[in-house]
Amino acid sequence: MQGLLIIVLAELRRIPGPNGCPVNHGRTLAGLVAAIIGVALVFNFLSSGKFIAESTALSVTNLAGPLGIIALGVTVLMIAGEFDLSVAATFVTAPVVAGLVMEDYGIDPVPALLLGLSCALILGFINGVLVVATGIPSFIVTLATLFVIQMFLRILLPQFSVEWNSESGLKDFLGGKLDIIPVAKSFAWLILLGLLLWFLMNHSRVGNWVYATGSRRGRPARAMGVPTRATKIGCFALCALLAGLAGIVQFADYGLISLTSGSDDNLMAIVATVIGGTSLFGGRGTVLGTLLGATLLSMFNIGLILSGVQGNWYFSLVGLLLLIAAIVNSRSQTRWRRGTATPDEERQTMVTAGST
Amino acid sequence: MSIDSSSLLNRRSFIVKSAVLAGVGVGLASCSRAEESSEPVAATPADTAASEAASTGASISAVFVGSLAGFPFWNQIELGARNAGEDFADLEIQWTAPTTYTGTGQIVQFSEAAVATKPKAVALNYVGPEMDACITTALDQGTAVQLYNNFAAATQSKDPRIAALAITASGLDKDALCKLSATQFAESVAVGDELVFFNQLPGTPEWDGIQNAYIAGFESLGWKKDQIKVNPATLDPAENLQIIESYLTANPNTKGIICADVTSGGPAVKAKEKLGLDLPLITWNLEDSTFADVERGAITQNVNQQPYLQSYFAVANMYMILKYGFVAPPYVDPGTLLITAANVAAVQSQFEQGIAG
Repeated sequence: MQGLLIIVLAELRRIPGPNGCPVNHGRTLAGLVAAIIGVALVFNFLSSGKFIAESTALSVTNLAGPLGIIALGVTVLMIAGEFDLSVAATFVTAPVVAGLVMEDYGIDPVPALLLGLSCALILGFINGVLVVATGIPSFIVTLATLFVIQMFLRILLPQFSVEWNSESGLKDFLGGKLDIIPVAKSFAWLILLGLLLWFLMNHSRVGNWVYATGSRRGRPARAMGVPTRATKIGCFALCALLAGLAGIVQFADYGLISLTSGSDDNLMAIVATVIGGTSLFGGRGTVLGTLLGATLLSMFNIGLILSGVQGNWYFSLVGLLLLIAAIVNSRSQTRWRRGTATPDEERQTMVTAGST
Repeated sequence: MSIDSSSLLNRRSFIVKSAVLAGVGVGLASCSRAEESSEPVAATPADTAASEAASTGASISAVFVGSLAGFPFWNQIELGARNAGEDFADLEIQWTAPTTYTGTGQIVQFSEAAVATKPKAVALNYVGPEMDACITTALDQGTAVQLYNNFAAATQSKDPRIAALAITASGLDKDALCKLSATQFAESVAVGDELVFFNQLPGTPEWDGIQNAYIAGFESLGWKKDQIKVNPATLDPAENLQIIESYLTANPNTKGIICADVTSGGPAVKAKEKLGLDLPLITWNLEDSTFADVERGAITQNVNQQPYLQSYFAVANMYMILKYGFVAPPYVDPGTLLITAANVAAVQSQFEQGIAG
C-alpha cells in the first residue's frame, strides 16, 4: 500500500520515470482520487453512515478486484491501440478448464490452474495473431472469437457451473479477505499486478514499445524499428492472461464459476479503462488510472444499493461517467493532434517513439 | 520474400470477387431449390405433413427455438424437446437458441430465422408482442406454431390467430405460478413484512413479468405494493453475492427474499450465511447445491417450472398437429412444483437422472 501511495504521489507530481517515459497523467489521477473521496463521502451521507464501513470496503474490493485485473490487461492493449471484446469469455475459460480437470481428473490445483491460465494465454495469442495477420479491426476479430469461445465453453460445461469444493491452501491464498484490513484478496492481487504493470510500462523498453505501438497508429514506432506486430500479439496474450487470472481469483474466492460469470465485464473493463484516462485511440493511458477507475465503478455499484437508490440507476451513472471520460479523452486527443499539447505531452510522444 | 503491394491488392480483389460470385451462385441455387420444394398455398402444414408422412414415410421436421443455450433451465427445455423428438419415430426436431442473452431482440431474431427456413412447425417462446410479426409470417406461410414457456401475453395480440395460440400452449401461467408461490411463502412471513425481489434482467418482459406477478400475488394476500422492494442483480453469481449482501446490510427491515434464478438464489444463501440472517428465501430453478440448501432450511421454497415437461409436451402437440392434423391441441400446464423440505428427495432423484432443472 505504501509503495502504491508513493507511485501515485510521484505521478501526481509528474515526476518522469528513469528512462523518461510518460508519467504525465497527474490531472487524471488527481481527478480520480478526488472523485473516489468525494463519492465515498456522498454515499456515506446518503446511506446514513453505512458506506464507510468494513463490510462495504469488503464488498467494493470484492467487485473491484476481478474487474480491475481484467481492466489492467485491457488498458495495456488499448494503449497499444487495440481492443479485446472476448475477455469475458477468457475470464470464464481459465477457471472452467481448471475446475473441470480438478473435478473430473483429480488433478492438483496448482497444475490445474496453470493449465487454465495456459488456455487463456493461447486464446490471447490467437487473437493477436489473427488481428496482426489479417489486419481486420480487433473489435471484429475478438467479437468473433468471443462467440466461438462461448460455444466451446457451452460444450465443455453442459452443467452450467463448476465448483471448487476441495479445501486447498492455494484457494485460501488466492481468495478470501486479508487478515489485517477489511480488503478482499482479489483487490490485493489487483494492486500487486497494477504495480508490476506500472513498472513494466514506465521503466522498461517493452513498456515504451507498447506506448509507441499505439501512438499515431504505430507509424513513428515502425519507422524507429519498434517490433509493433510482436508487441501487439504480446499485449493480446497479456490481456487474456490477466482475464484468465481474474477468473481464477474469483473462482477461488467464490468457489464457483458459471457460464454467465463476468458477463458484464467485456464492456465494464473498457469503461474502467476509459474512466482511468486511457485513450480510445491508443498511445496514452495509465494502469493506475484503470485501478482507480475500477474502484470507482464498484463504489457506485455498492453505494447506490446502500443509499437505497433504485439499482437501475447504476448503469445510467456508468453511462454518464463513460461519456464524461470519453469527452475529456477526445478533447485531450484533439488538442494533442492540433499541436497545442503541453510540453510534457509533446515530450511523451517524442520519448516514447525514440526510446527503443 | 517481398510482396509487391499492387499484386497483393490484385490478389485480394480476386479473392473478394470470387467470394461474391460464389455467394451469388449459392444464393441462386438455394432459390432454385426453394422454388422446387415450395408448398401449394392452399394446403395447411398439417395436411401436407400428414400426407407426406403417410405416402413417403419421410420424417416430419420441426424447429424448436430456445431462448438461451447453456443455461440450466434451457438445458432442460432442450433435453425435453430432443427426447420427445426421439420418442416420436418419424419426427425430426431441430434445436436452435442464442448462446448469450442480450435481450428479447435476439430471441425474436432466432425465431425469425427459424421461421424463414419454412419448417412444417415451429415451437416459440412468446417473450412479448415483438414476436407477433414473426408468428404472423409463420402462419401466413403455412408453418404451424406451438407456443411454450411464456404465452399469456399472446392473448393480448391484435391478430386473433396468435391470441388463439395461447390456449394451445405448453407452459406455465406465470401469474398463477407466482400467486401460488407467494401464498405458500406467506406461511413463513407475516402479511406486510418487507420483502425484496432480485431481478437479474430488469427491463426484459420475462423477468419484469415474474417480478410484477409476485407483486400482484403478494398484494392479493394483503401486502402493499411498496412493501415488495425490487433490486436489480446480474447474471454473475459472485457479483450478486456482493449486491445481495449490501442490500441486506442497508435494509435490515427485510423479512424475506425472492430470487427467480440460480444465479441469484445461490448467492442469496451465501449472503444470508455471511450476515448471520435467517430470512425465508424463494429461489427458482435447480442446481447441485439447491437440494442440500432446501433440506437444511436455507431455501424455504424452490420453484421448479418443470421445463423438461414443458418442451416435451410442446413437441408432442406439434407432432399431433403435423401427423394427425389436430386443429387445437390441448393447453398443457406441466404443473408448478414447489420444492420444500417435504418433497425435496423425490425431485433430487429426477435431477440426478437429468430430467429436472
